[in-house]
Parts: sequence; C-alpha cells; structure tokens
Amino acid sequence: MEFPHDLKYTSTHEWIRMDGNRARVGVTSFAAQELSDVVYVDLPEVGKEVQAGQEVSVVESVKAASSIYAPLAGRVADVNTALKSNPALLNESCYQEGWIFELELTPGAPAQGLLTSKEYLKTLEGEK
Amino acid sequence: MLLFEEFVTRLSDFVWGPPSILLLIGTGILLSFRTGLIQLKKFGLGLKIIRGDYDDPGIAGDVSHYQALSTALAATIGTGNIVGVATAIAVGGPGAVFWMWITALVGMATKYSCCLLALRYRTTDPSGHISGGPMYYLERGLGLKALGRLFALCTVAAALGIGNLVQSHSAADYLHNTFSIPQGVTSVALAVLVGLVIIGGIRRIAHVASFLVPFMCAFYTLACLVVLVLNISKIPEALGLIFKHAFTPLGATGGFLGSSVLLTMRMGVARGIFSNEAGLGSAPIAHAAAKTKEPVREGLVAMMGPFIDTILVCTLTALVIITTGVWREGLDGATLSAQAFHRGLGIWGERGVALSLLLFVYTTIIGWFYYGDRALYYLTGPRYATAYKWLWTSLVAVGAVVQLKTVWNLADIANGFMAFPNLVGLIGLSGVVSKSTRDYFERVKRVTPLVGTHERLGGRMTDFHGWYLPLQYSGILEEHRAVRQVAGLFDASHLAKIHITGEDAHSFVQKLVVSDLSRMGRGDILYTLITNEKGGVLDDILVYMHSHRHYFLVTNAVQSAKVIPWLQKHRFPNTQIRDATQALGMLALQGPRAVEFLEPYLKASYKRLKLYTFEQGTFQNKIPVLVSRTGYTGEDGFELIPPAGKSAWVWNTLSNTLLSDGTPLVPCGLGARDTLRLEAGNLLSGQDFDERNNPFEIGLGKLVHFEKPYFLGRPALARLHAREPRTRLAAFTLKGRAIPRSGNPVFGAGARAGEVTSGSFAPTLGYTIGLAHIDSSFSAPGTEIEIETRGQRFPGVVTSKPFYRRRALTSLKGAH
Repeated sequence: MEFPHDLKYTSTHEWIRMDGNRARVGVTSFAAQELSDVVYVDLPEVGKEVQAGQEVSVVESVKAASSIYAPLAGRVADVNTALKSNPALLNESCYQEGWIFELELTPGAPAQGLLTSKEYLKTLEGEK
Repeated sequence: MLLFEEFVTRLSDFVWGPPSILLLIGTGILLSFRTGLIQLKKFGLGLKIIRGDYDDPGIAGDVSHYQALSTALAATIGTGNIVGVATAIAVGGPGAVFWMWITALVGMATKYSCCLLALRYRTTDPSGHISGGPMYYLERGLGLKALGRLFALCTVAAALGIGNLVQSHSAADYLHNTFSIPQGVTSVALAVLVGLVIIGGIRRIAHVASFLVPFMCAFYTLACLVVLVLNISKIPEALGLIFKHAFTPLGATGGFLGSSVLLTMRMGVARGIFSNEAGLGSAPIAHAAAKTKEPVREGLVAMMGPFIDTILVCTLTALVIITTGVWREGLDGATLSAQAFHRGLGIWGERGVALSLLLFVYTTIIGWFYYGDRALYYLTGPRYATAYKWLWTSLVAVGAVVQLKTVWNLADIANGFMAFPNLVGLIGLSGVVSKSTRDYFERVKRVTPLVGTHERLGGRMTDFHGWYLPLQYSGILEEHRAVRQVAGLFDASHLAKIHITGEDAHSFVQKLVVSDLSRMGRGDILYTLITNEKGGVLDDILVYMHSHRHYFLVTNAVQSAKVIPWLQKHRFPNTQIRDATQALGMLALQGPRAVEFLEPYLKASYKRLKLYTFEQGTFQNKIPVLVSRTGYTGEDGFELIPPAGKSAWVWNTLSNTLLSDGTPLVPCGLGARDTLRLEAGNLLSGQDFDERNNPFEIGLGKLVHFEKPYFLGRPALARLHAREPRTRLAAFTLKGRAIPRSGNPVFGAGARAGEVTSGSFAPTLGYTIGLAHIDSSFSAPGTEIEIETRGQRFPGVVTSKPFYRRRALTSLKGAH
C-alpha cells in the first residue's frame, strides 16, 4: 500500500492535498481496500460550510457504508462528479481520479491534527 | 592445560546449574500464563494441524507443518530420551520422571512461544530460502542485534559439539560395545549417510526426518511396549513410585543410593530440559521453515514437540527401567537402559535399543546441521555454506574415532549459553506472544480445511459467525460477475454436514423436517426447514437421501450450534447422528460454465445429474467426492464434498484449470456469495429469519406438507397456516443509490412498518435491492414504502422474488 509523502492524512483515513487555501480530500488506499468495491458516493453540496471533523460525505461499498469527515474547516468548493457515474474510481485511483471533494479553507482556522504519511502509517500498525 | 579443562568443566556446571534451570522453568511458567495455558487448551488443535488438515502445498515456506515438526524432533529426540532418562532415575529415583513431565508441560508453552516468534520475525533470502529463529527475533523484534549474534555464535559452536561430535562418538561407542563394529567403520558410514542428506538442504533434511522420525519413534515405542506388556502387572506400581517419590524422599535400596526430594526434582527437571530442549532456542530454527502464514498455528505444532519427546518417549524409557527393576542396581546411563532392555527382551532387547539409539543419533546430527547452517548464514551469509557442509561431514567421521572431551565441554557450554539470549528474547517479546495468541483466537475461532489456500491466494479473511473465511479475493463485484458469466469457486466447508444413519433414520428425519420425504428416491436432495414446537424456523437445510437408513443433512453454519443439540434431543434410539463438519470439506462451483470446469476430473455421469440430486464420485480417479447439483447463487452449479484433508488439493486443481478458450475459474469469497444469493432471492438463515419467524411469514409455506401426519411443530404450524401472517418477508428495490443495511427501519404510509434484514447493491441489476420483514398490509408487490438508512428516508417499492433469474437450464429440471 502506498501513502504519498506530499499528502497529509487523518486518523479516519482521509488524505488531504493542500494547495494554497484549497484542500482536496479523498480516502487512503487502506480505506479503499477495507471498504471493498465502492458502489455509491454521496457527494456534499457545493457551497456547504463545514467544521473540522464534521461528516460531509458517505461512501457506500457492497459491504458497508463509511462516513467521510472534513479534515479542516471551510466551504465545499468543488466535488468530483465523475464519481456519480463511476464510483469505482475510488478503488482504482484513490489519490488521483478518485478524489471526493475540495474545501476552500476558512482563513485563519487552525490546521491542526493532520498526520504525515509516516505518522499515518503508524496509526495503521496500531489498528492491525 | 589442566587448569583450563577444570575451568571449562566448572563453567559447564554453572551454565547447566540450578540458576539457569530455574530461569528456564520460570520463563516457561510465565509464558504458560501469558498464553492462557495454551498447552492444555489447544492441545487437540495442535494434533489436528500436524495431521495436515490445514496444509496448502503452495503457501510460502520450505516445508510442511509435519515436516518442520519432524526436523525439530529429529534434533530433539536423541540419546537424552534413552540415556538421560536412565541417569535421572539412577540418581534421582523414579520420582524424577514426574519432574520431567512438569518440565515438558511448562516447556510446551515455551516451545509454542519461541516458534511463534520465529515465524513472525523470519526472513526470506533472495533465492527464496527461509531463515528464522531466536537470532532473528532478537534482532528484528527487540532490536538486540548483538544478542542475536551471540545466540547464533553459540548455536554454531553447540551444533559442532552436541549436534555432531558427541553424537557420532556415542554411536560408534555403542556399536562397538554391542555389535563389536570397529569405530572406523561407523565413522565412515555415518559421515557418508549424513553427507548424502545435508547436501540437499532443508528440503531433503525435512523429507528424511519426516520419514525417519516416525519410524524410529514407532520402532522404539514398539520395543518399549513389548517390555511393558511382559511386565504389565508392574505398571501400576511403577506409576505409583513415580508419583509417590516425586514428593517423598527415597531411601537406599539395592544398589540405589537413595535421594532427597530436592535431588529428585533437580535430576528430573535438568534431564527433562536436556531432552526436550524447551527454551534453548533450537527448535524454532526448524519451525521457521514451515509453510504457513500463521505463526500461532506453527507454534501449536511446535508445542507438541516436548509432549512427544518427553511425555511419550521418555516415559516409555522410564517405565521400562522401573518395571524391570534394574534401577535399584546401582547402574547408570546407557548401561542402565541397555540392562533394562536386556532384562526385558534378552539380547534382542539390547540390540533393539542400540538400533534405536543409532537412529536417534543419526537424526540428531542432520537436524542439528540445519540449526548450525542457519546460524552461520545469519552471521556470514551464504559464503561458507558449502565449506560448512564439508566440515560437518568430516567432523562426524572424526568424532566417531576421537574423544575430544574439552571440545565437548565447550560445546556443552555453548549449548547452555544459547538459552540466555533466547530467554531475553522470550521474556522481552512475551507481550507479542500474548497479543498474537489472543488476536489469532479472536480472529480464528473455527477454520475450514482450506484456510491455508485462502491465505496463499491473498483472500481477505473475516470472521463469519465464528468461522475464519475469505470475504473476497479480487473484489466482490468482479467475483460476482464471474459467477454470473463464467463460474466461481467458493469454500462452503463451514456448512454443517451431518450423517443420520440407522434403522429409523427415515422416520427420524421425517419427524424433524416440515416436508414429506416419502417422494424422495436415492440420490435426491430436498430443500426444507426444521421448525421448533411453536413452528419457529430453526434452520433451512438440504436433505441428501442415500437410503432409508442413511440421510445426510447440510445445515447452516450460523445455526449449527442450535440444530445439532436439537437433533440430539429428538433422536430415536435406533438412529445415529454423526457431525462430519470437520471431517469433510465442501467446495461450491457455481456459474453457467461450472460444468465445463469439472470435465477433466470427474466421470461423465455428473453431467447428467438433475438439479437437486447427487452421486458419489471420484475426483481424478483418486479422491472420493460427493457431487451434488444445487446452489445458492441462482446459477447452475455443483457442490463437491471431499475428505477435509483433500479439500486443498481439489480446490487447487480446479482453480488452476483453464477452459479451452483460456477462461480461468475465479475464487470467490463470502461477499460475492451474499450479493449473488440476494439477487437470486435466497434467504440467509439467522439473518433473514430465525426461530421467531414461521415458514409462512418468510414465504416458504409451500415447503410445509400437512399431508404428513406428524412432524415437530406440525400442530402449531397448522394453527399458523389458518390465519394470515402478521408480517411477511418481502423483497424490495430502492430508488437512489443508498444501501439499506440489516436492521434499518421500513415505513409504510409514513408509519413504522418493519425492518430490513438484507440489503445490497445488486451488481448484475445495477440498483439497490433488499429483504425486509414488513407488516402484511404493506407487503404486496407494487406497494410503495420508505426505508431509513443513515438518518435519511429513501423511497422504495415492494417487488417479487427473485430479483434475478437465469435464463437457461430449465431442461435440467427433473421430476421435482
């Protein structure tokens, strides 16, 4: 399993790609594997204000439903509509084409609690 | 020089003295507790694993469980089992045997732990060979590389001595004394025999060991048993002596000098440890080569080592010595054993022991070679591997003719010193042992004979009502599609398989199930229900009819804990119930092209099997399998029921089969099994219904044959049949793509009207489907309902089952 070094992570298995005041969010390869085949992604509405830790999306797989939380506070600026017709993108390319939503970060809100790839890997070892 | 020799002797006394022995036993006790007394609780499981029930030929590793244990036992069972026991009794009296048992019992936990760790921290070299053992768990588990090196160094040194020189010397000596064979002859012969095997590496060593070890054990056991049968009347007395003098001192009798309880204990414990080597760290090197992914499983195998070595083999020696009475005569060591067998069986007894001893020595030399070889590899890599083989072989020859007392002592010290780093490793990693053990038994409550296969194929394993089974291999959707379009292979071995036999088998099963069996013929299968007295459904089952005196039931894994006691409770005196769940495997081959995959392996008659019939066949003309044509996925398919131990073979053969156009058979997990059965509208016992539901509520009323005058639950069912069910198990589809899960509420006309039991995205259909218990007023097909999932309500509609129906194959339906 791969966890790119240029991304940040959460203990709830989201990844975050920071780009200025924008943060793109998806699920890690670990989560994608645990979920098994994704059949439906419940995307949030663009423009929705969210708090860090708030549930924003739900990924339904054949076996289970799993909540996706906002890693940081902000406004939903974009969602990956490609997932509507092809939810399997989340399994096939979880870090690229399988991204879920993008936040425009609230200015000045603290960017706390995010993990580096190394730290995230450690939390996984704890889970096993 | 003399001073040096004395120093060596003293050091040897120290490393094998009471403090280290206390440390070894103490660690064993600690590990017994940290593993929850694994040696008592999982003893039976260990036996089953050795039998090969869980072996998979393709899994990583060099040798099978059984071969790994044989290699370890080859090295372990040695002169200690014959000579050591004699010494313990000669000095400590019969009570010493009791203390040997205690060491073995405690040592089982130690052995379990170090072999578990050896597997967990083993490595594979670029050429694919496996190395493991205390040096690796010290380095990789505790980060103590220096201690790892110390251990390896001691192992190399010890191997040359107690694994080689001492062994060949005692063999040559013994053969000279018993058969007057010159030492020179033994020297050359033994060196050649050893060389031939070790050249071939672990695989040949394990191969030879797995042949010789059982043979030598059987041979020695037989010799002992003959003596014991001749002295059978003295066995109770001998056992009495063992127990009595474990705790009470024994005064001098005959030539026996008498001993204190402390001396008895010390002799028993020390000789016990010498014999089973628990805690020294040698056996884990052999077990690390085992083909398994589960360290716990190999630990359980290793655990049987001290049992076989000490509790079986040493006890036999001890009983021979005690029942023949020679222990009172002031003899010691090899002479005592030889005398005991002489007394028991005459000159042939003595010769028998000599031959056993020779075999014990030979296997010890090849077993220890492997230990030394791996330790050297750890220290220097493959560089000196060939030189070491030559050195080993020549030392066998040298050892037979020369007595190198100081070298022996040095080796003995090295052997004792192996224990120190190893005990550091064991204590330091006892948390890992404890956690791995707990996790394993948490995860793996019951396994099917295919567990090794699932692991090898990379199946993602999950717990299914206590069974450890694959959830998926390549992916649920892919597996699902494969079954709809080509074929998939499932492990269904967790289904309970029960034989009902006897004079009254027919009337018993008639009493048990709601359907009438009288329309069945030999080779027919019936899908029916078992209900309780209130008409509640205990389980849905398949009844296979062999004859009126032999039925075979396949019931659900989930409910077998209830069903089997239920059968026992209602059993007729003239019927036997035999649970063959563990003895048989069960593979389900499902899909439109399933029939083609069986083509190369079965006689053609299977193709003529009608739906819901079976026949006894042979797979590849050698494995007996029961072949039936039923299924759960909604596709055509077969079940193959082979003996448990042959299941992996059948699975591997089928899954390596390509059809003429190159299409492979796809291994499938529980995930696909569930989506497939739901599309086909098949129910899952324990989830879609249980004892609280009657057959009419779940749409299976047609299975209840009231024309049958009596069966369990009939009166209640007759009453229930007369009125409209309050709720019905209904099929529904959902608009939108949310997926309802078991337990989600159902609403009809805005009010709560029921509960979802199964829900899934239907891969073949492309929308969401499910089953729910719904108030009868909302259960008619076409009724609009709402289902709440994740706090939101989604609109759905009640529909009729099945959601999916295959097109072809109606021609196969027979008279049923």
